Amino acid sequence: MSSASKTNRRVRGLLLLLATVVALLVAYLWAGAGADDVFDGKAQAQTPLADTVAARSLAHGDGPHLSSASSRLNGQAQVAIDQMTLLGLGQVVARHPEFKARYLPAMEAAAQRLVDPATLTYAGERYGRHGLDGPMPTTGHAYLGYINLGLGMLRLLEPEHELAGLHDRLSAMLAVQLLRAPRGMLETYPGEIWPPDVAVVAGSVGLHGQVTGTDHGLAGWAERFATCAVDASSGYLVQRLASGSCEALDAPRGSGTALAAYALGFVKAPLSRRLFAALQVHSRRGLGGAAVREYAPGFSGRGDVNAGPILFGFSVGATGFALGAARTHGDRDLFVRLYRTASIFGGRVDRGPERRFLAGGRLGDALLLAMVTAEPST
Amino acid sequence: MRSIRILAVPLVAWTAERLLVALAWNQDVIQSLLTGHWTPLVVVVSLYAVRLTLVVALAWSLFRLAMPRDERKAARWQAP
Repeated sequence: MSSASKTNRRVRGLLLLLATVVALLVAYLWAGAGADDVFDGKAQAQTPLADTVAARSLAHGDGPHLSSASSRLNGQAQVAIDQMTLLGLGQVVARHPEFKARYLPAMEAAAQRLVDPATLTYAGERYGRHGLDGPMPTTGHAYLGYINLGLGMLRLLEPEHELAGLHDRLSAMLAVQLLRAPRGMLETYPGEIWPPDVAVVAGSVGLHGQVTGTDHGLAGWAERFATCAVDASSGYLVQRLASGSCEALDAPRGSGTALAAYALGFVKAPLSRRLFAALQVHSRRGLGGAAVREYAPGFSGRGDVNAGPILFGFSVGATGFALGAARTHGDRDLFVRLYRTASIFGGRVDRGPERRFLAGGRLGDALLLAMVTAEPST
Repeated sequence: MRSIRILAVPLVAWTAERLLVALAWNQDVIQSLLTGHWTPLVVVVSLYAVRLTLVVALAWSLFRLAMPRDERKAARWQAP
């Protein structure tokens, strides 16, 4: 082979490498476009997704959005959509009060659906009645934490809202249950204890405390809760416990841990940071992106309604909720990397003034809005 | 003419990407799957594939544009 031919091949190889680097750079820049602005809470970075979520809340028809054969799935998904809509839009307005008139109607529509017992008929099927149908329950009904957290965000913006009385009664009932429970646990449904749900209950009580100035005294609760539900070796939160004990019925999981780290940010408890530290340990960063492992080391399992699909051990749920935890605890590097991952695998699309994540549908968009606008825990 | 030929694949991929986005815009993948409709999932998966194709095609086109013309090939074309 002549030396001219060798040189030519070297030049070609170099050019191919350079072209690949440029193409990867284009993908990297596209996926991370605006991520820093989202982290910084800039209005122009938050409103495209907020507009999408708000428009859907206002256009919502009767009944749950999902229509599967499972009333539990349909109802819980609707509660999640409306709660995340309230949290996401509320966090945008809390940071940019000039958008209050723009988003408040969509928040009120979501709140009215949340407090309607018809939204989660499954609770009535299990308990005989929905917790908001009649007098306040005295035990269980931890699903009410999701409703209460949404109401808290509405109350933050509208202290005298017509649902304020209900918010007070719900928060008081849930706080009493948390403080009274020896292990700090509440049943979501009869015989079912899901620590991530309990963390949301505590977060809702914490937000009520912030909004009204009430001290619910949750510091002692956090210690009891963590002793029972946090896996000592991984730092992850156990997904499900046996009723009446600390016996694990499921593995320590990233999706529940990340949701709890976000929700407990409203309590201002050190537990939120502790859970986030575990997420940092179990996240993997590379090629400009990041993802969070679903199962703690030594455990394995399949994807489910909480985790979503799992790919190479990393779940959509853990990665998505970790965005909220990363912003709550000020980890810009992890946030930006997770945002790139969400953009690529979530199918981020900007069209006109709106932004959507096509792989997640209505639930995914509402959830991501709440997570990427999560306010820092101070 | 050569540049247009080289950029044809990325241009087609980009057009396909825009079309798929328009198709998927009002679909809800999760809801569709729960009701046994696979079309929105197929559209979104196709969107991933087209975006990947776009990046690869872009890299290849950049390489072709940056590569100097092969003298021997040029000579072959000119030969009677």
